[in-house]
Amino acid sequence: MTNSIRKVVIVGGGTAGWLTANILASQLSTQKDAHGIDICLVESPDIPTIGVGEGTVPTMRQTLKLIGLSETEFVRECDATFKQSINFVDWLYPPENGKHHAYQHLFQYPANPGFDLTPYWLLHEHHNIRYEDLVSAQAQACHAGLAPKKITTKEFDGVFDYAYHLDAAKFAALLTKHGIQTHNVQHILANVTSVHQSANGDIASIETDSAGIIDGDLFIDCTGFACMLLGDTLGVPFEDKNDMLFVDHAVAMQVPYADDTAPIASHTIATAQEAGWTWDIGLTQRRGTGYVYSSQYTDHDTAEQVLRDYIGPAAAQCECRHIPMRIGYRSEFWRNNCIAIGLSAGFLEPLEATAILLIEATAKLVVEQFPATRLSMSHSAKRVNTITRYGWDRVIDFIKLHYFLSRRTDTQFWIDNTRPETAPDSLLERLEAWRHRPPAESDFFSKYEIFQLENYQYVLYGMDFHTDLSDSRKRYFHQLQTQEFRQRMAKYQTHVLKGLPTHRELIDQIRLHGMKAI
Amino acid sequence: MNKNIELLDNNKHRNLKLKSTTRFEHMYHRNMVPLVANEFMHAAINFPIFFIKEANTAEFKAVGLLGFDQDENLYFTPERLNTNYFPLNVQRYPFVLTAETAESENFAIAIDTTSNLVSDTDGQRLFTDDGEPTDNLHKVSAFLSELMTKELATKKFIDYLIDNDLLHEASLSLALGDDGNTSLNGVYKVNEERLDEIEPDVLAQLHKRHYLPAIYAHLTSIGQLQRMVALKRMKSQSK
Repeated sequence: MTNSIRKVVIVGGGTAGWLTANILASQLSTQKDAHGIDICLVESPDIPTIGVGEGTVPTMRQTLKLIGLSETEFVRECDATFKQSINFVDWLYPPENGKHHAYQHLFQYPANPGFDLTPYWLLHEHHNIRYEDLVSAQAQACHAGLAPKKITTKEFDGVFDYAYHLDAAKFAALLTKHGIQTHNVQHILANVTSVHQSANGDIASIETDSAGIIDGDLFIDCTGFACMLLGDTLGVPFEDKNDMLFVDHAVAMQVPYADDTAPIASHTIATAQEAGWTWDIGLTQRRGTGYVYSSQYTDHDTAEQVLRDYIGPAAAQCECRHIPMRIGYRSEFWRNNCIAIGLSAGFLEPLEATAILLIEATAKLVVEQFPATRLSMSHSAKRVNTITRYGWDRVIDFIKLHYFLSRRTDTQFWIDNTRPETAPDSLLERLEAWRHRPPAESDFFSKYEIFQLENYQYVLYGMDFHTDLSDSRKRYFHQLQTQEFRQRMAKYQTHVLKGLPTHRELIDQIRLHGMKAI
Repeated sequence: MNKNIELLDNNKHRNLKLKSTTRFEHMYHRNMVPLVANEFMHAAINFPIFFIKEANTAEFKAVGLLGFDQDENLYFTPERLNTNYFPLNVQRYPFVLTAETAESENFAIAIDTTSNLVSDTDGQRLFTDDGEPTDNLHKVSAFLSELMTKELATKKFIDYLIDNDLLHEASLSLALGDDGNTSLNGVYKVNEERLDEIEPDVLAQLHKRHYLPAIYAHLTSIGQLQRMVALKRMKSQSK
């Protein structure tokens, strides 16, 4: 008997299963290579997929390239659209007399004319211009309904950085086709009836109702909230994070456009509500909307009404779906020869579109750390567990930041969210430092931290976080250059916006003509 | 279709006359002209040839570059012609072959009626008094259908280059003297490194399809950018 890892069994389809299958198969297994890894995906024909999130972050572009999908095909088949930012509405203050506070978390990183503009914005400009408008032209492109690129821009390139909104069910279907046809993933449709373990606790095989016993060297648990292998079989506990992130339910609704020429937003709209927030995502054929809320602070009927009120008259003909959510993650992601990826690993509210992101990140990490034999597996497991846990904790920090900086006192939900005992210490420490100096590159020393300096800058200063530079203002001597930069940026903004098509125009052109790979 | 371009009609245009030109005034503010592959050799000794993407469809086409700025033409100027070759797409003016209707696959001749080559008094007629096409119009028709055949062959040529990974985006930066520097964006060229390492079977195909002369003419023509810089300097000095 050999100890080498030759066969990976992924249990569960959906976005997590198929994205993992494509990433692993494209990176680890090749038909020509006798030493390649066999990837097999077992999917129940009866369990519907949840369809995690319809939002992604810019890493999705690298992931699609990595697995060899064309961007044109992806846009056409998944009703995908371009997401350039998240527009946060009413997060700082509740709306007053129809007036809303709003800021954008842009995917185009802030411009850097040789120095960080942040202290100069804080010292001289913040009464004149919004942070995002000083450092980028992208917020204006979003407000004008423009695309981040032209039809002549090559695939995966942009005038501005971007991610996608997508139809999760269609994405899973495309990944299924691509995984089978391009990467030789073996696809088995069957229900798992029992799981067999070896003496050392490893998963030896799964037994199915219609495909017999399937054995493997490494099992990936993509069974969603059920967490059938890592949780049920191996007993890895779930760590609840509801004490920091209060939302625990979602009510979702798909809303049609008025007609097929209606503008498509090129950003997610996340609007704070009395006990949570609503998402609003524009796909090509419809909008995906929903309200994530905390059942400790509201009830399900009220929550549905909040969503219907947000949508307005168009909601009248729409059905909605209620989804309970368990916020937190598994205390280990990899135990023995089993790894959880996707909802089985954990779930956080979709505020920064981290669900698909964490799938991509974990699958890529497994590729890098892929053990050659069973002997080296515990080392890989330890490494993946450390990095992944660090990643999840930092995502929690970043999501909590959005609540913690709020000045809303209109409901108990918001009041409780800004109590320091509900925030992670790691976040409080950073915020304490940033009260007296702007955030620095060195505050983000790990590349496994998903949200970096630039992401924090947009949220902190979009929410008017107060960094007091009165004692250090003499250190910042680029005031003149900042003014010059501001004039250059204003010119650039006018110029760049003129050259971009509307988001709807670009989607129509892609459907008709396609983008070029070069 | 441009609003001043009309399908040729033997009633409406029966008395129309056409002057011949050697000045090509319609080119004065166009900075590029579409080319077909088998005129690359002639174009190459005058101006640079690149591939660009059509603005609305991203379809590739071959063009001769005639100016750096949007409305600038350094070769066709009121003072003089700085080229001894006139591309087929220059010569065809004021005629164009176009689909009869938006859905139709049949092509018909259309004419730019605002052209100063078109007149009621001077030049050669397109139709006889009975509404029959003149020899002159027959020549135009033959010219346009030949151009169309060559354009289809050019499209095949470009598709072959793309399919074999032979095109890449050119990054070119040019010193324009007092006018500062300019960079050419969105222009594509044959990848010479890739061409040097081409697989024998692809090379055999390039030869068999007679693509090699066009490829080398295109690569050679890029040197004409220097002539454009010189023409641009002359122009700004004479101002």
